[in-house]
Amino acid sequence: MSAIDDEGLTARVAAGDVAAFTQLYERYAQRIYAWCVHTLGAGRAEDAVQEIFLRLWQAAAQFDPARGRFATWFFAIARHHLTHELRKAGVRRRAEVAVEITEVFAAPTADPQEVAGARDDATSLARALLRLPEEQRQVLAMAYFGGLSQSQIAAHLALPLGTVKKRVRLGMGKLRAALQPPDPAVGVGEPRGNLETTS
Amino acid sequence: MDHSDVHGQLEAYALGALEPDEAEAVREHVATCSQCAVELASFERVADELPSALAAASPHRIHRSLQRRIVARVQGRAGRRLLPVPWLLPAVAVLAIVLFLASSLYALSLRQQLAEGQVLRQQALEKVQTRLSQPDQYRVLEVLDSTTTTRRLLRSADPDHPDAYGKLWTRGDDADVVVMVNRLPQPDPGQRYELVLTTVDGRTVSPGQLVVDPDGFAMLLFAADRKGPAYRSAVVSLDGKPLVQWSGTR
Repeated sequence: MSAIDDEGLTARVAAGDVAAFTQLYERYAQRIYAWCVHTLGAGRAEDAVQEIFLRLWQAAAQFDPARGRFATWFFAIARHHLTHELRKAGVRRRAEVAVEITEVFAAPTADPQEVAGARDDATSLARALLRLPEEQRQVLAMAYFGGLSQSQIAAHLALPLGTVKKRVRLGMGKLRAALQPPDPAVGVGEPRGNLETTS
Repeated sequence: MDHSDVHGQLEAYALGALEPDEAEAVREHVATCSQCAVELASFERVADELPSALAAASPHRIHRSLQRRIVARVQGRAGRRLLPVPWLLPAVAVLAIVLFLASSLYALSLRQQLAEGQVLRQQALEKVQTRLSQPDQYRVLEVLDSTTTTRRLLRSADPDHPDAYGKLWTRGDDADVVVMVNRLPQPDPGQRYELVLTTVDGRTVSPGQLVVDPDGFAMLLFAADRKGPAYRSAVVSLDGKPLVQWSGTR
């Protein structure tokens, strides 16, 4: 029997199906937990995971698959919750969290392929992040995990806004290239996208 | 913002790194540009994988007991939702009648308020669903529905447009703020609507431009610089001329 996709499970959760909720939990819990523990610390991570999944249970009926993927919607809930928690600590702390996450990407302590449940795209992206120039990896983490705008990043790093924008564009472009299927016209072993370009 | 401007902002939009007015401009353009919509989807896929990549690189592993605790809480709520105990049925029937009467009274009250043009919510929900991304819909609904939410009514300040009005929603436990304005006149080319707020400690804040749709409706969602922001006035003006306003003295 083929597995039900996330969007199908969410429709079941909206109807009160606990088994469907459990399946979504098993698919996403490790990702949400890692995000929470690196953002809030181990002492608060489990409470945050619980809060985020309870919001999924409560808000499942609001998800509309016609408007986007489940992952985009659910991670937006998680990101909203975590940046809300982080805001209490101010911009400086949010930037510090992002720097700590940047360091995890730069020196992974787990082999992505050995992590139970790690998917091909996650492994590809983790490797692509590892190969990104430090300054690009940093602004992406500050934006996504720190919840900072490009203007706030520029102010915090004392950089021109244009430089931050360029780093965001370059970094995202390279990560997108890493997720694209291999181009048959490209020879085996040749990199997709120029990961060495810096801002 | 034209196509090339928006095209260069898609990466930041997918990361949630644009200012509210910039994000609104991107949303509006993407709704009508299939090329940018496809491009944005590819960047959103990258953003969606960032938590997965973090989990793949992180040494931290979730404890199995957490699943039991969370599922048990959900089962408790599901149990209450299903009400499977037979002796509860009469109570449910009574509750249903009470709820029906209460909802009828509420609907009547709501219709009256709508007739007076003082409630944006019903009309606004439709706009929210069609104009905002899923994540921002969620944020707006959270602000509108929170038990800690405070609503302020912005009344017309322009005798030429006495029907114009708006609302300001703030939460006591969050920084998100929602402003909706209705029955605004269409701006001439080059003119712009702007929201200016004054905080209780006297600071002036300008969270951004309001983009008015063909129905005269505009909304703005932004994050204040603190949880539970408190204001003493709000003014929406067109090129400096106040159209609707609220002040703490009213």
